[in-house]
Amino acid sequence: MSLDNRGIGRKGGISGRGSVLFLVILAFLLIYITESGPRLLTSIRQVTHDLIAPVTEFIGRPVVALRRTSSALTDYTDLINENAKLKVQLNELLAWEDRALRLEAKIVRYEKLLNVKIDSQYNFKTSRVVADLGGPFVRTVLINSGEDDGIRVGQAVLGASGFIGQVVSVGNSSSRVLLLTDLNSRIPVQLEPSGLQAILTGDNTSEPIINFYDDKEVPEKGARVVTSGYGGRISPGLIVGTVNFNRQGQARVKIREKISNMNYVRVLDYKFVEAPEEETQLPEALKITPQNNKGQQTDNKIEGP
Amino acid sequence: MSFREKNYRQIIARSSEGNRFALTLFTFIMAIFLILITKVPLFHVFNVTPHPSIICIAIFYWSLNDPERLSIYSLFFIGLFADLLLISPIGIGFLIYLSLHYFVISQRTTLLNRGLTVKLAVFTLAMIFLYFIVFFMARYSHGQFPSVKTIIVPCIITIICFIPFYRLFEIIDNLLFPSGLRR
Repeated sequence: MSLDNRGIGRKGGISGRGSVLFLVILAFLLIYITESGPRLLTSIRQVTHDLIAPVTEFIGRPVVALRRTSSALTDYTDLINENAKLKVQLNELLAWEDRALRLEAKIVRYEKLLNVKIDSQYNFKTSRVVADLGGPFVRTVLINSGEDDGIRVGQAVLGASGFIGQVVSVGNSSSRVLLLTDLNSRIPVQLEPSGLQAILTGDNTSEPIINFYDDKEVPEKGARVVTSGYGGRISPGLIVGTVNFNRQGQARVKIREKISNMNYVRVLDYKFVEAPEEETQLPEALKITPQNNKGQQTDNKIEGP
Repeated sequence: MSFREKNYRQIIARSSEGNRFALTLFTFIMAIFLILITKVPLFHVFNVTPHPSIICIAIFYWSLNDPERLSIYSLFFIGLFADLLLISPIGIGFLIYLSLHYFVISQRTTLLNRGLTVKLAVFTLAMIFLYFIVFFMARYSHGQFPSVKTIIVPCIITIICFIPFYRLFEIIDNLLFPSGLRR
C-alpha cells in the first residue's frame, strides 16, 4: 500500500478542488436556508422518516429483544424483594381503590345535579417507537403511525404512565414526536391542587423548567403537574410529573414517564371544542350603529335597564 | 504490444474499474447503514441517548486506509442524510465529515505506520474538536447552548467504540475485498 496522501480533492486536480469548494459553499448555503425557511425541509425530512421507519424498526428488533431480556433478568433477580414491595403496595392501593370508587360515585351524582357537560372520552392509537432522533440539537422520537392511521400534528403523546410530548410532523406511515424535554417544547400546564397556571419549557435536560407562572404564587415541591389544555392543542388533565427544585432553586418538573425506556406510546385523539365562527361579532340586536350626520340614531340601539 | 496482450490489459483495467465501483458503492451503502443503526432507540446514559457516531469511525478508517473510496459527492450525500435524520441544520454533517476526512488525510503518512493506540489518540482529538463545533452550531441553530451532557456523553461513547469498530471494519474489508482490490 503506498503511503501518499491521496484524497478526494486531489485526484481531480483543479476540478476536484473546485467541486470541494462548490460543495462547501453549497453546505453553508443550505445551513442558511435551513434556518430561514424550514417548511419545505420539514416535508423532505418527513419523507425520509417515512422511508427509514421500517428499516430502523427492523434493525432495532435485536435491541428491543435485548432490552426485554435484560429487563426480565433484572426482574428475576429481584423477584422476592419486588414481591414483598408489591404486596404492601397492593394493600395501600385497595384502600385507594375504595376511596376512588366512592369519590367517582359522588362526582357522578354532583354532575347530574349540576347538569355539567362532561369532556368527551379520549381515543388513542398505540404506536411503537422505531427511532430515537435525539442529539445535541433536538429530542425527538419517530413512531410507526402516520396520516394513514389518523395521526395529526399537535396530538398529545403519552407513555405508559404520563405525558411525553406532542406530534410535530406527520408522514404517511410515520410521525415525529417532540419530547417535552426538547429545547423547543412549550407546554401549558397546571399545578394541582393549587391550580397555578404555567408553561413547561424544555431545555434538553431530563427535568423541564416551570416558567411564566403568577409571581404571587410559588410552586410547591411535590405538586402534581398536569396539562392545562390552554392553547387548544394538548388535551387537558394529562399527568406530566411532579414539581421539583434544582440546586439553584429553579422550579422544574420530575417527569413521571421514564423517557429512556419507551417502546410503545399512545397518541391521543382529543377533539377540542371549536370556537363559534365570527365570535368577535356581536349579534345584530346588540349592535350600535354610529350616529349619522344629522345626529339621529338608527333603530338598533341598546336600551338602558 | 500484441493484440492479445492489449486486449488482456483492457479486460484487467475494466475489471479493476468494476471493483473500484463496487467498493465505492459498498462504502456508500455501509455509511447509510451505519447512520441508520445509530438511530435505533438505545439505553440512556445520564439521561442522554448516547448515539455513538459510528460513521465518524468509519470515515476515519476509510480515509486512512483507502481515501479514494470516499468520493466527495458520496460524502456530501452521507452528510445530508445524517442531517435529515438528526434534525440538525442541513449541511453541518457534510462539513464535519469533510473536515475529518481532510484531517485524516493530512496525518495519513504518520498514522499508517503507527499502532491503534496512536490512531485512537488522534481520533479522540478530532472528535473533541468536532463535537466542540457541534456545540457551537447548536447555539447558532437554537439560540442557546445545549446541555453539556448531550455533547460529552456521545463524544465519550464514540471514542470508546473506536477500537472495536475499527477492527470490525478491517475484518469486513478483509473478508469482502482482498487487499489487492482496495489499492
